[in-house]
Amino acid sequence: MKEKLARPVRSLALHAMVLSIWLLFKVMRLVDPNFRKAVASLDTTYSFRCGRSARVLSFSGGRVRTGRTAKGRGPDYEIVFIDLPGALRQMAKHPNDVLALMAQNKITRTGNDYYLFLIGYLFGLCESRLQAIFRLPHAARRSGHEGLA
Amino acid sequence: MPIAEKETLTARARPQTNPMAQIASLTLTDLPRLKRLRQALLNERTAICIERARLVTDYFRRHGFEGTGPLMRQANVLAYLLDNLPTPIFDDELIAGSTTSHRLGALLFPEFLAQAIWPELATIDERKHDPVRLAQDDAGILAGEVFPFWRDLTVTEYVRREGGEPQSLRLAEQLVFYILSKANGISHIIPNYSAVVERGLEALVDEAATKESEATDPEVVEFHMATQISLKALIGFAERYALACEAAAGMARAQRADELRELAATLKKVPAGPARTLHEGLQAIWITQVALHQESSNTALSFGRLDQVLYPLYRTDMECGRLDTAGAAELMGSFFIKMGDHTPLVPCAGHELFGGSSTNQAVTIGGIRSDGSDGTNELTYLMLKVGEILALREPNLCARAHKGAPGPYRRAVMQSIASTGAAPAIYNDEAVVYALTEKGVALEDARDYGVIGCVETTSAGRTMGMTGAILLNLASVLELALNGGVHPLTGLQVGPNTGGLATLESFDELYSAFKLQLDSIVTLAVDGNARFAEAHAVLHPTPLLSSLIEGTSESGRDVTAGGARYNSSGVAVIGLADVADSLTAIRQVVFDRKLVSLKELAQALAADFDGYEKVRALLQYKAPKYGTDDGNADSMAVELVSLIDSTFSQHVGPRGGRYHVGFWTITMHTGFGKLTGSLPSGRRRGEPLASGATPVNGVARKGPTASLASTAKLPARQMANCIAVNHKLPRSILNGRPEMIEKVEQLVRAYLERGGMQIQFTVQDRQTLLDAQANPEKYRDLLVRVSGYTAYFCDLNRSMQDEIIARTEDLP
Repeated sequence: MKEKLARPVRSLALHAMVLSIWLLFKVMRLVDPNFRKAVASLDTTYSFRCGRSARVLSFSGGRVRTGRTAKGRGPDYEIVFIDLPGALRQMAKHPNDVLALMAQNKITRTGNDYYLFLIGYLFGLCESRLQAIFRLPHAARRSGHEGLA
Repeated sequence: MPIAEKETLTARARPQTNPMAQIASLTLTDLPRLKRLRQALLNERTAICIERARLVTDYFRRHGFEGTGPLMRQANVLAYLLDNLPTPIFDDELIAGSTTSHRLGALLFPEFLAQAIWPELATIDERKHDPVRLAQDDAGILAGEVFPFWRDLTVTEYVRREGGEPQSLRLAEQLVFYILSKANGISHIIPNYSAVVERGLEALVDEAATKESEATDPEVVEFHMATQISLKALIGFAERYALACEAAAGMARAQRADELRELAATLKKVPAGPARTLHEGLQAIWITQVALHQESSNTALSFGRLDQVLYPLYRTDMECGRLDTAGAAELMGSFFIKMGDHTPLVPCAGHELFGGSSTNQAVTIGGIRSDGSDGTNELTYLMLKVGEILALREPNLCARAHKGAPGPYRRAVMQSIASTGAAPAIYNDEAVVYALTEKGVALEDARDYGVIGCVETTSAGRTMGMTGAILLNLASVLELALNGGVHPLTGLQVGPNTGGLATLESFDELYSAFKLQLDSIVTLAVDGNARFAEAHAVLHPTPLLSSLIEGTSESGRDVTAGGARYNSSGVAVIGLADVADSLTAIRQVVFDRKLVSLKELAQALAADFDGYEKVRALLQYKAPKYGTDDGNADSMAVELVSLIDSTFSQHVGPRGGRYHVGFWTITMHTGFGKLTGSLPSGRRRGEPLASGATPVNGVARKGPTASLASTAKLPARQMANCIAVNHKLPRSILNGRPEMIEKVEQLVRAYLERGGMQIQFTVQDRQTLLDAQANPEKYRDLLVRVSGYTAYFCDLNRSMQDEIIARTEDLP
């Protein structure tokens, strides 16, 4: 029963996460010139998967889109969440520390890791902008990178 | 007039006693320039230099990758770099040449792993650990131009694409089983600096030209053409620095202007021609080192036996009065300080594995010569003393010891350790030479070994050893054996299904399972290493480095293609003591004495001993531990060393050589420890593993003699990549107490006589370390020994600091 409930919950969490990222990127594109410049020439599709659920995030023509499938092409990079709640916690603390997600085995990936670092960079720009807006102390100065586990 | 004269009036005012006494009495006060240079370095904050990355990207954007073979391609891009890199000259320096455009900089290699810092570009100057400066414009260039250009062109992407996402690469990227350091470039090697100093590069160019004209194989022709281009580019690079010195002289005050003109004159002579003075020798070596760092990774490119290489020049200078002791010390110190002009650039997550590391450029002193006679000389003592008074983390000073080493040398080494708190590390010639000869190195070449990087040992100037090629987490292998090939953290079936812990009926079955898992992981690691080796041979050969390694001229092949006289691949194994103690505990507590059942053990491990405190106590205290001179425990460690070496020996290295196994850990014993669950030794999940070949912290309850007796039993012949043995002494019991220092020296001597291969010390009081943790700004240059290299304590992450604080304190 627990597992039966867990699956739709995970699916919901995955879609919610990707939709949130999409929304965040859309806002960033509007308010942050560095972010706008970073996505201007991208032609890249990411697939996010958890169990049997999947959602894509794609960049083209300077815009960010999301959907359940990649239209007309396979994803350039796929991120599979082994531990979605753990990954979300890690990303909330250190959004641009994508290597930690790997090291902590929250995710597995397929594809050129260039794309992992690229999306990490986009998250880093978001973090930087949010700090500037809300005058937050830098994330790295908070608890610091507490380690690999 | 010798450059240093005006700065050393204090020294000159002293009566002219014998040089050894003068060396022994040197202080930083006598050497104000060194004091200034040292402080300037410590005051500096690392800045990322994008020049190399920008130039190499620019070159390939214009020229592409097709049309020429890889050797010529790499030679031409190096020539472009050396012709266009900035040539900064900094105040006070006596040795010209800068690894980056900053006084303290970090290089970027977009061909390798530079992209790993991309996510941090917007935040890197404020990150908690190791913040580095990065100009916003530079960040824009990296993000907009450099990284996108190299998207499909890195060595890692080559391996992934050519191998169809090979399992060996995927496992490496989990970071929990092993790390393949070739992803970060060709490194961990000692160039033949004797040739640079004694012959000069023009002689090497002529030799290559002759070889080119004689060769019939087109690949050999290409190799010799490429080495000529690279060597000439380096000569041109030195000439550019000569011009920079002359330009700076035009704007400097009188005395400094004289120095700069003299430096310019030096750079016009060397490294093109042979060196005739100590200054020329040091300058030739340094400018070559800077150039080599532009060709490939700036990690562990080491200097070898500089006291041997430079001694003839030093002696001549001293005998003809060109230099006095203080002048020589000033030159040597300036050289040492230059070594610290660059740092590795480690991404945030990597800090747990490599945090606080310098670039680990090792300098080896002392030891026997190729003919077996003692090689200790006056320059040995001078280098030791300069290292002591500077007390910086670079160079990684390594002192060789042997049965016939002079007493004053031994004492000077111990004095330096007591004074600096960390350096030098001590290496046993008898054990190291034996280990190398067992792996096929000729005796006279083995005697001429140098230390690379952290602790690794190879025959200097003639070996392509890649001594840090594979970094293996032995504890992960044990976890696979305990869980039927499933790794508990990832849940992945990584190894063969050997049955879970509870299904095993005897210790022999468990040990067989362990061997199978080890074999499986080693096979994968070796496969990954081979793939990266191929990638480098195809994409990124190193003609300049190759021109400075014995054997390549004769073979006509790059070092990446196996051209060196000796080829090997180095392995560092992490977790020896923990795994030895765990296996001993299972054998004795579970199978022999039946104090704990297998089922209980499995449950206890799964629960991280929560609710199983009694089981934990039995495992911790009812089983002997490695480090207590206990036959049972130590024999397990010995057996593991033998097993690991023989497992790797079944594989041929990518360049036809053998695998050399070592036991040293950088900071990975804490990093891997965080990724390792609880172990049958009683260790809890996430705790650090033991460093190097040292016993687990806190278990060496019978004192340092017993601890070292255990370590001395490890078979040197099967540890050709050497070991790091970390011991800690309270500074308060050594300070001003020569009799205590002598006791430690006797302890070390006894250990070496029993066959101990290596030992290194951290000499700090626990309270000092705790205070440094709480108030890092007061302890900026506090040195400790990590597990191989020397580091500033305050640069280390919290886990590593805690591990060092928790290390067993030896009380001699």
